[in-house]
Amino acid sequence: MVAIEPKPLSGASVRRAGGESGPGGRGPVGRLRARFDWMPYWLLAPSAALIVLLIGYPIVRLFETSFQVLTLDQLFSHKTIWNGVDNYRTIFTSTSFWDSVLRTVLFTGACVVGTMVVGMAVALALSRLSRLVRGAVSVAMVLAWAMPPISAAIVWQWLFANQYGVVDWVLTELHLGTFQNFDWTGQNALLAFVVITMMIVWQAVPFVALSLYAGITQVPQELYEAARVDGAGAWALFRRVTVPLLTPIIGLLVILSVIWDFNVFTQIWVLTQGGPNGGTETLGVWSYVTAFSANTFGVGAAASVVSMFLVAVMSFYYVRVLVRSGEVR
Amino acid sequence: MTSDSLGGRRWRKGPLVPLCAAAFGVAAMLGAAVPIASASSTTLTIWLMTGEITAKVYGAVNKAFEAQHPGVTVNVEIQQWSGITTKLDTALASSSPPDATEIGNTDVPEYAASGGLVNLKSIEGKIAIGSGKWLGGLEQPAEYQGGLYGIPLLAGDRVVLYNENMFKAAGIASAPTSESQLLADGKKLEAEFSSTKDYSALYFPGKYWYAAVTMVWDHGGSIAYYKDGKWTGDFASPNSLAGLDEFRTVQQALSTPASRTANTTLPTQDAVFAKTQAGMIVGGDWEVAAIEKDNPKLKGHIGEFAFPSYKGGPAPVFLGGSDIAVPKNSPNRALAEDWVELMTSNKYQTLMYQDDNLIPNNTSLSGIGASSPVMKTYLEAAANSYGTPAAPGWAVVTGGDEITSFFSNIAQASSSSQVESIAKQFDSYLDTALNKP
Repeated sequence: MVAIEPKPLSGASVRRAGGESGPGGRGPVGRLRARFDWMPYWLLAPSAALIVLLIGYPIVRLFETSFQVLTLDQLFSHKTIWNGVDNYRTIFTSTSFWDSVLRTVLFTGACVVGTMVVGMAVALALSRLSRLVRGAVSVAMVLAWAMPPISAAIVWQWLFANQYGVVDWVLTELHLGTFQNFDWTGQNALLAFVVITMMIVWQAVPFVALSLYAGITQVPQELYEAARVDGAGAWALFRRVTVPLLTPIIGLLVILSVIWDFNVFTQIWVLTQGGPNGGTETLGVWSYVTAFSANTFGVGAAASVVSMFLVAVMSFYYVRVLVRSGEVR
Repeated sequence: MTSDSLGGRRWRKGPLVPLCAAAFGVAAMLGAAVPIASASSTTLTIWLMTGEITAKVYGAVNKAFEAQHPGVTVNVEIQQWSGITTKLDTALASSSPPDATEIGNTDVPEYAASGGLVNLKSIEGKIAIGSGKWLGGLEQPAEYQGGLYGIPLLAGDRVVLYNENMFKAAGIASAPTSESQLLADGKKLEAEFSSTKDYSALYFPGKYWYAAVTMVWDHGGSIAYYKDGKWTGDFASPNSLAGLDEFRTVQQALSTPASRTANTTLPTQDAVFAKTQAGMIVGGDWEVAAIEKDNPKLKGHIGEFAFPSYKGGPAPVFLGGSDIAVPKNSPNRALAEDWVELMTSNKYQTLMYQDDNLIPNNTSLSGIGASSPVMKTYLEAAANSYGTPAAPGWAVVTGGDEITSFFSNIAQASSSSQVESIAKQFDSYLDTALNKP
């Protein structure tokens, strides 16, 4: 392995270079072991320990609980009752569970598509704005991003309130129809989802837009110039130059958005509590009500395991690509 | 007292609860730190909720108790409503819970059925309440399989609050005492204030089921009944339907169309009343102060009357309030029972009423409020109160949006037959949901 370019090596390649091209690189196994570099593992150890403690242990307990009958009764009497896969049977035979899964998948899809499209548009706009305006837009976005979801949800609740709501008032003042006392979240589940999706997209766009913008600034200008010489228009430049070069970032942002949007709970709970008539009951709401309103913690745990599994399946493809691309480099 | 304190469990497990998971840890630490009682002195730990019984009242109870039990110190710890069920779950599961704890009456059934509390049936007869009976809305939730897992502690209820100035302007001389009169007076108000934007004679949010369900009870209906080991939804029975239809009639005649899908919080009904966009609301005594704060001009001009029955006289009420219970793992169970006996006796209930304006736990004391016209209305209304079904699945019904959506759907219904089909549908939901563990 020879480094041709004189560019600085990344951490990973330094390690590899140290291990393979040192004087003893091809020596006997024993000597290789003796030279094994423990440093990276020492550096990783604290975070690994924290992850095991704060994430690993609860997940193990979650799995355990999902195979138990656990209600207040067992909690108070410290009884452990294993019930095999009964909790899973309960949720898989529940129609309201499957309805909530379907809702969650569609809702997640809408949120991710919305976030990526708007985020990309904002990122492209940022790259063309003057420095001053770009700064202003960035600050505005960071502010929206920094808002705690629960505060944001309460503000949106007031914006879309059917009595004294600003949105109804503005639409009516603009003569866009009779929106006086129009109920956005209380009468139609689809409409309620539209409002929730807008809120999620609004808070998710800043991160996506700023990340994509950072990516765009790294695209070499020569590539655009070369493409222009070849007669490419704006759309072709975007499709053939920008998007391919940003693919890794886009992939990462999509998968992060999927994970985040799949687990959205606070905003839905504040705005609709799963209503009207259970129409916005997503998997998160379903699990919450099952675990903490009904105090059937075992069934709730099983539902959480299932949603974890669903997220894992959805992110598996991308994580694989990510790992493989790491290996190739 | 805040509106939180005597609402339903919705408020106890509000949107903040998931974020308060940390309370688990905190409660565990508190639990571990409390019981360092040496052999010579014992500390009795009591949990009471914030904003209700004041230090003066429980201080008097403690003093009497400590005089009876030398060497015992009582330590009252005031709890916040936010995240309380999580904290209680954790405390009751620990080996060192409080020796006695206040529990909101809508939360009592699940704890009564959970095996975490002591059956207090044995001390029930010892508590000095004269010839009084426990208020139904406090006692019923604590009853489980013949046992009594909490003793009624205090109550708050809802009556009609009205704007006296508006009544005068509309030429209404006295408060209505029957439902038909309520409708007639409401129409007078609507006519008088027809130019006021978004005016409601009686602002009645469609999701305000605490207030709406009283009409079902008034007509002899019920939410659900227990028979042959099974809970069955009862909203589609003829009596319940009559009550639901009355709710629809009153709501649609006297409240704004926008209120049909609203709850009491957005906007708060107190704000609507304070903004003089409503002649009446159904509210608790704790709401009067909130209204007067929003609009000081209304001070002294807010009247109260019990929600009238269709037969005339006051209709039954949905009682807010609390019971006091002894956790099974209490280290000082016998002492705790003695303290509960004192606190819930007429002597200290009277003090609690006089000092803290809280409604006492039994009917024998309804006479003591005669001097205060405001409290008199509340006391009298509380005497006829119902609790919610002590069914294992009731917490699920109220945990999400199901019950609020149901009443909102009734408020939006366009005919009696539509009310019936909505009620039938909801009953079939209740049949499954109520019987789930």
